[in-house]
Amino acid sequence: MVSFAKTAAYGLFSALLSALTVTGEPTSGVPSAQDLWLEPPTLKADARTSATGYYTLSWDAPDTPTGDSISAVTLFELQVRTDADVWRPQYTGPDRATTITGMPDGRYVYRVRVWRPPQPPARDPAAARHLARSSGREEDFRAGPASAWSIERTVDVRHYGLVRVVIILAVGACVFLATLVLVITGHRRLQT
Amino acid sequence: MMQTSAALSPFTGLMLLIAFSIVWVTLGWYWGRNNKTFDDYSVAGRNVGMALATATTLATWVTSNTTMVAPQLAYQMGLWGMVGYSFGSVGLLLFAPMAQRIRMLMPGGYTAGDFFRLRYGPVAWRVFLCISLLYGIGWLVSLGMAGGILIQALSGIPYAVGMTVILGVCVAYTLLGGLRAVIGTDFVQTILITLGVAILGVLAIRRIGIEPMHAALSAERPELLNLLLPVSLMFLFNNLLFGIGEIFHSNVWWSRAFAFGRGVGFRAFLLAGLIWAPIPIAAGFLALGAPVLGINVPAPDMVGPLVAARLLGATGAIFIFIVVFSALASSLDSLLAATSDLIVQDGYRRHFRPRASDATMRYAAKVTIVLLGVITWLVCLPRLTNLAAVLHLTGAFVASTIWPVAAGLYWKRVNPRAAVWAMILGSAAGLWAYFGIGFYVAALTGAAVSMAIILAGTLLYPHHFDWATLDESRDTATAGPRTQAGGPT
Repeated sequence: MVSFAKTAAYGLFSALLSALTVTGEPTSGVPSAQDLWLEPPTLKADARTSATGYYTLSWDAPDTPTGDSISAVTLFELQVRTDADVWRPQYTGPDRATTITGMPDGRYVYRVRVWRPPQPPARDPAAARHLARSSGREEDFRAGPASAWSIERTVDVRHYGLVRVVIILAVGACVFLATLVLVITGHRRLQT
Repeated sequence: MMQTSAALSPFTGLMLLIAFSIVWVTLGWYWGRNNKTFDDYSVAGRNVGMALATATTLATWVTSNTTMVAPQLAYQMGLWGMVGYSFGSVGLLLFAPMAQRIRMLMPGGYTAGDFFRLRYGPVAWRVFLCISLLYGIGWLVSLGMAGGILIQALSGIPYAVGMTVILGVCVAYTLLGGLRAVIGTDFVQTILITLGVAILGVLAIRRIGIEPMHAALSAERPELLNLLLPVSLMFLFNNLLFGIGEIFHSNVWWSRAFAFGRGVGFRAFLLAGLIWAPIPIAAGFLALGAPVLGINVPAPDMVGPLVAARLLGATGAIFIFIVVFSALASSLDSLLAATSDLIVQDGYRRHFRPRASDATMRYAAKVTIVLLGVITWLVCLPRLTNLAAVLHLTGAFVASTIWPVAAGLYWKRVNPRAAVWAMILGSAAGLWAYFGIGFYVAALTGAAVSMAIILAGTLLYPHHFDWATLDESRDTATAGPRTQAGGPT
């Protein structure tokens, strides 16, 4: 709730700021740099269902017209929810993807949002990267505005069934043992 | 685009790249300066001794894939992913007696293609060449990609730049020194790799600790500790057969069997296999430390370098950089040399210029190495997929050659037509499994279908073969080098 209020307040503030600072541009129809600044990221999953227990999630937020230096000073917050219906933190940081592995059977729902620093974006790319990398500066981002949450993505994990696994294991063992016997007996026969 | 934190500055990374590039190219020139004949260039004079033979075998099989894909598989499939990758050593162990047999049957041989041509005839030979070249390019691409990913992960240098430099350096020194340069640099690289991986494994255990690692995995990634994880069990024999297929068919290993001195091959492959087995376990172990260290892994093939850099800091990142650069170069150069041999010997000479002179062959080999480098660079540039996916796609093809190679070396009665169909249908079945089920069953399916066809063909339609046919050096001894051996088939 607090987060929502903060976001809404910043949204109003950023709209005013945008109207004041982006002079010479029409204020209607064209999204301003500040609007893009707080647009929610787009979340993608490389699979809707996973039989392996691993999958990769990726997300992106639009860059503003001022370029890379802005996209570098960004903190993403990824959350996960299982059937328990409680959102838990999955990842917070500057990366734009994460690989989830070792998950047991179940349904996993993800969402992501972006935090921006309260200061105007750094124009110097090196300084921006330094800010983005510094894990100790997470509070810098938290003090700033957050976007709305992205559209949720669901991944269902259903591991392969036992019958299929046993068949594949048995075929593999047979082929391997036959190859082993072929080489060893061939070699021994030649030696003798 | 994925954004990650790098442990080294781009400047440090660039300095390391330049320094090692100079070292490898200089060593390549130094070791190759006495090459006089095509035999010197392509099979290192056929008299490589035990120490160099073991080192080059080990270094070539410890690829950047060992140090990057092994952690990836451990991260995705847990304990069996890590152990399963180490089963790749079985391929080297099984090839030890075969190397001895190859050297005995084909004392004047140059390539694996020679075996298929003489043993099974032109159709099987050409099918084999297609498979082998596809695999060669697939492996080259996976190595080139690994180079770019590694350098980007450790130093922030853009993927395309790192990949280009590594490919360029390996092309340059292979070009200068041929197989002699490859084997010489492999020796130095082996020392760097084995020391590096051993130190890394010990550091990982000491700095993370088994108990915290176990606790973090149990809480966050429980299936990685599950010894009955379905996908990892399915992968187990697949990886084993993939490794066997890679080694049995690839000219990288056949060229070494031809290059090693008499009696050296068996012991060198056996020893290298035994030393190799624990290396992927040490490398894979790193990946299991990612959850406890709180490391985010944007792409699974980056997990090894990311954990290593976090564990050891900037100095450690330099260390990792050197180790993996060595592993990568030692495989890239071997593959460039062996694939160019296959193209020049089996493609250019056998199909177009049977009477090509020694100088012409050396020139053709050099042009081919450059072309291979350019093709690899072009395919690597867009970074279309991840490392394991590239590598395991080729598994469908190479596993289908296991039985045609092994049975062809030991059984007189293998039917040549069965060998052809074993490779074609085995590859097709492997591809079907790759796309229909997953990469973790492609090699297994290809090998199983191929084996069934060889067994059925040999039992139902046995074919008699005279082993003496494989020894072409008897003809060349009477007619002079490179005039008789290369008639078009």
